[in-house]
Parts: sequence; C-alpha cells; structure tokens
Amino acid sequence: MRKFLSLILFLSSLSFASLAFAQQDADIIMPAVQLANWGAEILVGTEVRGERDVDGNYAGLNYRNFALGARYRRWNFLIESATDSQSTGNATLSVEKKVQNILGWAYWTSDRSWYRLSPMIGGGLGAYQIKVATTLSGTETDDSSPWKVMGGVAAGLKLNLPVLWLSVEARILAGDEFDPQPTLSALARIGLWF
Amino acid sequence: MRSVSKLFCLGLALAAVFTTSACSYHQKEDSVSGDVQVQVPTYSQGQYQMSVMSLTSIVDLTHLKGAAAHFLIDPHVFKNQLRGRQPEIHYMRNSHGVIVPTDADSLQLLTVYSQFEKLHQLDQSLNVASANKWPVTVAVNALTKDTVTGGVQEDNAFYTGQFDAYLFAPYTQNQLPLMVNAGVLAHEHFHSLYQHLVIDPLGDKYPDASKPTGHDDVARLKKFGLAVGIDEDLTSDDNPSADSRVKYHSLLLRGVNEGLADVWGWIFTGDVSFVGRSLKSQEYNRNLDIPVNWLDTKAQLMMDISTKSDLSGVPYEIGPQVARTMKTLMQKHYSTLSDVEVRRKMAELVVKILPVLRDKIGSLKSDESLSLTDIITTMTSQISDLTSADCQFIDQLIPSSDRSASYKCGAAQ
Repeated sequence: MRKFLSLILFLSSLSFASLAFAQQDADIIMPAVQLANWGAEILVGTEVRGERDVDGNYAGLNYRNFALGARYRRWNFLIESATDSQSTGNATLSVEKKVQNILGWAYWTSDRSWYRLSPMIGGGLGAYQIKVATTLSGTETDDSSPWKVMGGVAAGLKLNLPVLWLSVEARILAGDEFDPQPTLSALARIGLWF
Repeated sequence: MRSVSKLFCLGLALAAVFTTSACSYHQKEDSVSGDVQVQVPTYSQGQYQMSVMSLTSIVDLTHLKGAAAHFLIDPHVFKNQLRGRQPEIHYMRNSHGVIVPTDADSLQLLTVYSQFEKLHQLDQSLNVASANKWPVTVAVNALTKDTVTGGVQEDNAFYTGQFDAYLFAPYTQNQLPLMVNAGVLAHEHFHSLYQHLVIDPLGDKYPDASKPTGHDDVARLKKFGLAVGIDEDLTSDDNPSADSRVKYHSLLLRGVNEGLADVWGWIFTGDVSFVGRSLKSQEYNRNLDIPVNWLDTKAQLMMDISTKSDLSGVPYEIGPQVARTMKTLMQKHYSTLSDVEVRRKMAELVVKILPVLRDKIGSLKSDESLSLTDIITTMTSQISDLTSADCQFIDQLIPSSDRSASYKCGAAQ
C-alpha cells in the first residue's frame, strides 16, 4: 500500500512540478503541439485502485478503462467506462464481482510542456454499479446493485505527441459506499487523438 | 504565468467541488438495527442453495458484530487469551435491499454469523442457551500445528474449551467450505454444549475428561500417555487401574461427544452426510444413514488403546456408532412424525440425556467402568414408551460381553 500511495503522490506532484520547472527553465519550454480548435480521441487504459480486502488490508485492483472524447482547444471531455472483475472461492462456492463505472470527465491541459510533458487536471462525475454472480454447486445466482453516484478529481501528465495519446494520472475517487472513502487510483492511458 | 494561475484556480475549484460532493456520499453502513436480510447458502431439500435469511441480532454489518457471534481473523494467543483482527466484510445491497456479499470470504463469514444466530435460537427453544456465553467467538484462518504430520492443520474446524471459541483452519479442498456447512457449525456448537453441560461439571472426578476439547486434543492425549505406549493395565477390562480407567472413560466420553455432535448437525440441518459435503474422505465414515450393526465392546476399545499408536481417530470410530444408533432408533420410534418433528424430538432427547450421562459417569465407583453399551442404554432409557420393535433394534446391537444381567430394554437405568 505504501508503494501505491507513493505512486499516486509521485504522479500528482510530478504534474504540478513539471509546470513549475517549465516556468523556471525557459530553454526547455516549448509550445505544445499546435491544435485545431476541435478534435476527438479514443483511449484505452489500465487503472489500479486501492480498495480494502476482507482482512482490512489495501489491495490494488486492476480496472480496464476505455474512453471516447471530444476536444475543444485545451479542454477534453471524455465519456469513460471502467470495469473490474474478481472471482473468489473454490469449485463448489464462488463469488464473481463485476464493477462497472461510467463517468463523464473534463480535463484541462496546460499549453506549456516540459520535455513534451504537459500537466493536466480534471474532474469527473458519474455512476457505478456492482454485479455479483454467486455460484453454489453449479447453480448461479445473479444480483446487481442500483446505480450509485461517484465522482473524482485527477492530476497527471500527458506526452505531447501528434496523434498518439500517452498519459498517466493520479485520481481521488469518492462515491456512495466506497471503501475506503475516498479511494485512490493511478491510471495510464494510450490512444489516438485528432 | 497566466496558465499556471489558471491551472491552480481550476485545480482549487475542482478540489472544492469534489470535497463538497464527497462529503455528501453515503458511507458504508457499519451500524444496523432491526431485521437485516442477507443472502447466504442454506441447506434445504437435500442440497445447499442460496437463500435469503433474516438476521435480527446483528448490529455492525461491516465488522460482523452482534448478539450471536464475533470474529477474530488470523487468531493468536496472547497472555492466555485468543486475539485477532476484526473482519471487514464486503457486500452490496441488491435491488430488493438484500445484503449480498461480494467476495467468497465475506460470504463465508456472513454465513457463519447467520447460522450461529439460528443455533442460538435453537438453544433458546431448548432452554440450554444459558450454558454458553453469547456472542460466541469464531476464529478464522487459525493456523494450528497438526500434531500428526507436524505441519499446519488444514481443512478442519474445532471447538476449543480452553478458549471457549470455534477455530476454523484454512479450507483447501474443492467441496463445500466448512464455514458454509451448517451441519459442521452445529456439530462444533454441540461440543460447546457438551463441554459446559458434561465435561466441565465432571472436572474434579475425571480431570482427564475435563481438559479442553479442541485442536490440542491429540497433543493432550499424548501428554497424558495414551498415544505413546501400551499401558498393561488397559489390556484387561476386568480390572483396569484407576488411572487407566479415567483414560478409558475420557476416550469414551470423547467418542460420545463426537457422536452426539454428528446428531446435532443432523438435527440442525436434516443433512445426514454433512461432513462428507466438505470432506470427501469422510463421506462414508460419517454418513448417518449407514446402518449400524453392532456396538464396540469394552474389550475392543481397550484393545484399541493398547495397540494403536495414534488414538486420535478412535472417538471418530465410536461417534458414528452412537449417532447412527440414536438417529435410527428415533426414526423408528417416531415413524409417524415428519423429519422435522423427529429431529425436534431428538434435540429434546439429547438435552435430556446430557445431565443423565454426566451423573451416570460422575457417580461411578472406583472399581466400576462403563461400556459403550452402557452409554447407549442410558440414553435410550430416556425415551418414554419404547416399543418392542425399538427394543429389538437396541438388543441386536448390544454385544453379549457387555450385556448387563440387570439390563432390560424399556426399564429405567
């Protein structure tokens, strides 16, 4: 857990520090890639969230992340889906938990970059649902929770390259009945933008 | 510089909005009151299936605290007390408001709590709830030494009178986990009743039998010399020495304990093969529907003691004889009643038997000893109006060597 927290803090501080360095060292400041006013992007990513297991310990859970977005100048507006699936138990009794998040995110990316890295910050709001399939002696019982509100803030770095999107970010997420509240996460994305 | 200011302003605004909204999110509800509906595995119509149970005693869902049970995860002993972490179970509410555990560990813990609430209700209905302290202590993922192999004990559940707690060793097989097996929970729970109603009161007279039952039983046997060699006095059942006599009765008491605990598992669930559902190797040995043809004689038990290097299995050889005999007899005797009614009659009989058994053993003179036959006939004598068919069944089981001249089926012992 300490490593995970360190990663989150590292990513957060890096995004802000890079901007500060860029201001101090005029030689390495370069304008970001020239942008058309409007654009779009398609992104996939992997996200690690620090959630608590049954023993109360923090465990890093991997979410698959997919996003489609539109860009207006330095603003990116994404519709993002993140899913995680965990299966526990044995051959006779098992529990499969699937979590589905759907959020709308707005990111603002700085027009300055440092070694092609531009800091970005963002905020999102959406909902999540849990589905549980409990299998007992081959018979499956399916349950789902109602959709519940969740949101988050993010800070990260985006590599300034034409067409290719590469970014990392740290997130603080909160939502109805999150455990822990708030939940920290780290997200790495790759994609295409136009 | 303008963009830095913009960035910070935007960041601050986002953080402010987020913090405000995060505060309004609902926290996971730790405290609950009233009826709580939970979805757990239960035994019904010959199989385990997921069903909704209503819990009335739980007060903290996340940490599973309530009047029925409290849990210790990864237990250890510190200053002669059992300690461990409290659990943190994961669950969600489905669209009907029912609590659904979201991982297998949480499901097992919630099932244990649910079943102990039912066991508490059963004890209350039989007026024996005061024999135990409630909530009971359940220690999960207990790593104890297997005194036979020297490794870590796996796939087992114990009641330990030393700590008045239930210990669950890690379950590694692919059958029904022990913590979900209601019959196993009831079996272990019976050990606590037996401890408080039979063994503890016998403490002074039979110090060996009053030692804690549980995971250290085998070690305890070895400590008391039963498993390491042949005691010459034990080879003769006519004249056992006082010390050997105590050891013999200790083993017999443990066998009866195991047998009645199996009966209690059947009473609670209606499952005649509950041990085999979790432990395939025990499927036949512990099935209560296997016919019983005879009872071990006193001489046979003495022979076991004198020839077997490891006696830990002997109580599990005596136990099924007790369990099958009592179950078969009750089903014959109450053949017109439903299965549920027969099990209720059986529960009432077992509760009635325990003090009688305790008094019978407690009142033995120094030159007297009991056989398994004596134990069985003492139990069956508590059944009113035994029929000739009942007596015929009992009589055929009794070995002639252990038949008392004064014994007459149906007469008070």
